[in-house]
Amino acid sequence: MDIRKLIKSLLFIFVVLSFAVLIYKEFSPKSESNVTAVAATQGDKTSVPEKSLPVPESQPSKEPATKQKEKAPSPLTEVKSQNFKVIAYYFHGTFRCSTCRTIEEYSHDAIQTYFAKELGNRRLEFRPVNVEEPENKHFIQDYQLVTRSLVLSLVSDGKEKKWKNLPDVWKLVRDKDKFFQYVKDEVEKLLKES
Amino acid sequence: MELILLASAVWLGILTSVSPCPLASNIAAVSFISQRITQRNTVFLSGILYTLGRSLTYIVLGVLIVKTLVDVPILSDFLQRYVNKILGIVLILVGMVLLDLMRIPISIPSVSENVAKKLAERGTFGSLPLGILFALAFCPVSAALFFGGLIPIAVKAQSGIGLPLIYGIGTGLPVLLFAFLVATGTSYINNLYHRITKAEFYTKKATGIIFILVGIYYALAYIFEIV
Repeated sequence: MDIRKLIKSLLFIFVVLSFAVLIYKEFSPKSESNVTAVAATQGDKTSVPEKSLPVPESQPSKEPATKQKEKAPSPLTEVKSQNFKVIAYYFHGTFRCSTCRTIEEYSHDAIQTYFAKELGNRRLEFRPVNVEEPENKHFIQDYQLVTRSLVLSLVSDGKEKKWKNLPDVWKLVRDKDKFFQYVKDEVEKLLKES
Repeated sequence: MELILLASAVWLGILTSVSPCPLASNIAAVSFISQRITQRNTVFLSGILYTLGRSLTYIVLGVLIVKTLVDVPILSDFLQRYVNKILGIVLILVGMVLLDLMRIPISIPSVSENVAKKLAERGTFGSLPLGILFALAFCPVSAALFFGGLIPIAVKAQSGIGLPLIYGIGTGLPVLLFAFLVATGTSYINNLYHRITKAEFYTKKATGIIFILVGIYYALAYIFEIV
């Protein structure tokens, strides 16, 4: 009888604790998100051309700097490739399921395997993004995300020209070779357009 | 053409139910459905109600999306984010009721008390709301298959009810089949040993324990974000 009571109390404590954490997590990040929102708008002001680009808030300040750095050595030859770049976003949530992890890993590895050169000269970039963080929430609307997704975005002069969701990653996740080929083909198509 | 649509809806449903992420809730569902393990008809009815509950959720979502242009990404994000969190707490509480660790509070008006009692003690009718709730708990895989796979087909065919219904049946099929196999198998053994009442006592306890464990898993994964 005592064991029953003990179990009962423990379970109740767990339920109450879960509920408290749930409420706390739901309400506390909002105050943080206000801060980051303010910081983000300030960041945007300093880098006007980046404004329309849906990228994480840390990016706008970083990107112009690297651009200038890379432009410096050979401005004439580098101009074309600097203007265009492809960003491969992998969007995930806080909870990571095993299939989603595989998709992220394959996407990353495929890009690393086939596009080392493009990654090196920054014409291509792989960015994992947690859409459950308040500052990344806009991606859900921007790219009409219904689940964990791989999205390719073609960016020119800080403005997004084109984007494409790769929905077949979910179908091909059980076939590594086909998955790699799919990512390779899609990235190549977009790189050619740039 | 129609047949292809129906077949793909069933197939997407089956893929949803056998994917690894709703595994925990499927285990809970099987144990809940096969609670009255010695009565095959009850198990079967319970399984059908569970499947109907799932279909009901998908039909409501399907109609919302096909007919009213609800913003699909926001809906999907909302369901994935919140339902799984609440599910953990609900499962633990239902498990406690099944184990008689907790009684349904008397303060609740008599009608809902009756309903709640039925839910907890008569597993059969509880299967319907269980199906509704479990179908609402979308995970990445099921969201990809439902919002990314079924909904585009349903929108194209302007079928807010038919295809989601078929999809829902697909998602319930393996659970239904498994529960039925369990019931068939055990009732055969039970008939041999004439231990019918004992068996039901244990299956109810086992269901309670499974609910609590699955609930704790959901809470750890989605609320505490540890697992």
